[in-house]
Amino acid sequence: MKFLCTQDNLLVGLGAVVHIASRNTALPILNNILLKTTKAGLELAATNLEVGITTTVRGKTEKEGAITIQGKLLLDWVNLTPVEKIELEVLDGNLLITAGKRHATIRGIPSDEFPVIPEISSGIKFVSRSDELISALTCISLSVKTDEGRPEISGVLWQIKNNQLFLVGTDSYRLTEARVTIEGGQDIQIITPLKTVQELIRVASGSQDVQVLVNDNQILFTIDDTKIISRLVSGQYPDYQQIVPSQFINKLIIEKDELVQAVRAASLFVRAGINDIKLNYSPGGVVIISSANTQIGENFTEIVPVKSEGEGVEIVFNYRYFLDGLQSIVTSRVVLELNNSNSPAMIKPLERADFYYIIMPIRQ
Amino acid sequence: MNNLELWRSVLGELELLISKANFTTWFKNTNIVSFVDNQVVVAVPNAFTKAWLENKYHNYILKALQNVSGNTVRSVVYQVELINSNPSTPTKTSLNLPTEAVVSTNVFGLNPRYTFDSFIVGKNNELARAAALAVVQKPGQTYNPLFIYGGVGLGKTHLMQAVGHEIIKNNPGKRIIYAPCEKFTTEFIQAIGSGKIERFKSTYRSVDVLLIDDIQFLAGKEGTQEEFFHTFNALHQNNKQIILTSDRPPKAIQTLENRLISRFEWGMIADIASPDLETRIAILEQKCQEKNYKLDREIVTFLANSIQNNIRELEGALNRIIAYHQLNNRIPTIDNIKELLDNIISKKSTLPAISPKKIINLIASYYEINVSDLTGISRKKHLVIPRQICMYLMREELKSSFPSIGEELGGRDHTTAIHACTRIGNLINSDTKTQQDINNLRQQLYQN
Repeated sequence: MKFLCTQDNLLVGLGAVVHIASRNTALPILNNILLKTTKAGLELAATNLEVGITTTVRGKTEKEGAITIQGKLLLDWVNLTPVEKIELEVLDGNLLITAGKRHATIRGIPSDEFPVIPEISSGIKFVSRSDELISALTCISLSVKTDEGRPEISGVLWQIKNNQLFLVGTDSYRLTEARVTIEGGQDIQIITPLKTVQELIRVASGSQDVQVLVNDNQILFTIDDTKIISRLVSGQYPDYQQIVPSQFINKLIIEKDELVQAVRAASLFVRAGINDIKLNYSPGGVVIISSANTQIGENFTEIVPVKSEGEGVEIVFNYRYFLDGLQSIVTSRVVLELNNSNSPAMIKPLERADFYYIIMPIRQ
Repeated sequence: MNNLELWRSVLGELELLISKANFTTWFKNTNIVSFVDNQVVVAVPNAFTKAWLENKYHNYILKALQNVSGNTVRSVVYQVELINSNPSTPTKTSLNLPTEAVVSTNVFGLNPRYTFDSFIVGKNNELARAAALAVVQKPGQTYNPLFIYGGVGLGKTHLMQAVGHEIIKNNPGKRIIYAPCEKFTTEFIQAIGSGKIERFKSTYRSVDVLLIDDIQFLAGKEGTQEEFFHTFNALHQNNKQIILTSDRPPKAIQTLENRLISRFEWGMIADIASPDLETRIAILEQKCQEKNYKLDREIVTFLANSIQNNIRELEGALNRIIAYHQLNNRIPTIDNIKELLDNIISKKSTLPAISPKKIINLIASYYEINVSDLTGISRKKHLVIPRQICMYLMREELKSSFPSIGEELGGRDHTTAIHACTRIGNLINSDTKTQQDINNLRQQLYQN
């Protein structure tokens, strides 16, 4: 194998794949990434047997061949070389790298032991704009927690209804739903592992759009030259809509930054391990965000809502969950909808119906 | 040969050809789903395995299949399928977002649930409660210190914290510290470590009421004992109330310095015994009310009858019943409950049966003497103590009558047995060696 390319191109390619080649003690070759030259360029691949990522680096192939090496090591080395041409060559089972006056040799493992990354050719197809999908998934993934006891809610739900993609995530203390417009597709409901979503966010940021192909048990994302293929989580996603209250007694519209600052200030005085802040609203009056810790002290902030209606409420939240919700809101004003101190509350952007965040209060 | 056996023998052959790491990675959770018309369909857990088996091990697999089946297999296909899940009945799980419940302790570390109102009075704790109420009336003056002792889960901490709550209610300005003994010890050690011993001293010596839980853990910690001794004196001198709890009376706490023992006995020592049936029923009914749960009278009586010595266990059993109800959405019957609480209740009856013979044999082997010497007439010192301990254990563990104990140990008079039991009973309180011996013997007795 012999291949020539720019430092830039190689860096982008390596950046997309190395992350997934994690520690795997059972099968050491999974710690490595695959480098394979074809006429199209240098193909890079890595997998943890749950998610596989492949990408192609543009360059000049002088001799075809393949090898697997520690991807992180190559990435770190390439990062330290200045911008210039890089030459990769396999000699006696080692990868020789030359960049001007810099030389390195990385020990490799023969490529024939490396797993075959499966491919999907047919299935349900749809396309989404990257920025829209990524920002939705970023908000969603905040709410998801890996829990082996409940695999079906350890992932992200992708549900297509009437040409709209609904993304849902929950850790059973909060729940996020975001809506993304797509082209193509038909009504389906699948669950992807959290890890897959995290890889997608990393790889797809900065790209134009994401093409998705789903079959019975696999999902394939194509982002320019990079492909992410992942298994789907089997199981039925719970009927999440049943916990979304259909109406709220109190509705507050508040400047987001003001509320974020008040919550941050309150977070300094929460009780360790409980993280409780109190929100108090009396009809027609101000909203008070407060917290108290007998050992440290206490604090409260008064906020005059832009608009408010309802009977008033006093409710306690975990400030981390509350802040996660607020920071997912893209508009400058947020809508806060509340019933009583024991029922779920909703945070959503003003005059937009494509996102909401449900948060459970802390019972006193 | 069925599919299962076929695949097992194929795996046996493949295992020899492939490295262990590869074998376990790629052949875990695979099986044959069908074998029709010379074609075998192999189920694999994911697409990676499918791709790998197709591309890499296909020839091995086919060959092994032909070997095992006697050349009846012509082709093999692979399909992704989850073996353990049952796709025909997708389980509908519901999502309920629980609210996070927080039992908060107040400023002084007191649990708000532990008040006099929620404390149920019975014969077993009348005295202790009366003493506690007297302390509330005149803190630091009537009974100082108040020493409450009793078994596990009988309400010592509850009573102590109730005093704390009540004193704050009457005099909001009072400074109270509630600390389990272990907290006192840790803080003391930290204070030494960080050189802030003065601050530690001033914190504990400036309070109006000091509540220390489980003081028996002070045993063996000489430095902490000394510090506690001085704290105690400083507070007592200024008529500040001290309340202590322990699982045994001061005298029975091993390696506790005498000057501390005498101080603990200075004020008032009150014990809390196991509650009687009526009290247990009352407690259960109150717990039900607290939890907003209705339970049949019959079930309440059954519970109160089966769990006698520990209120915490009683509450645990109740919680279990409530959880069962919520989980299965139906009201438990008495039979359900018997089953549900089987391991809690039967724990006591499954203890190995003990007999006077067993105790005698145990004592003989523990002290390395002959059974015949133990029951014999010799009154050498190395025989007398084991013999008396033997009588004591028979009395305590088997509730044997004094005449029958005498009979078992070589036809001795019942007065000898009475004397032995009194003597060992006293020795336990004064001599740690005897106490340890008896604890060890009890453990061995119930172990096998």
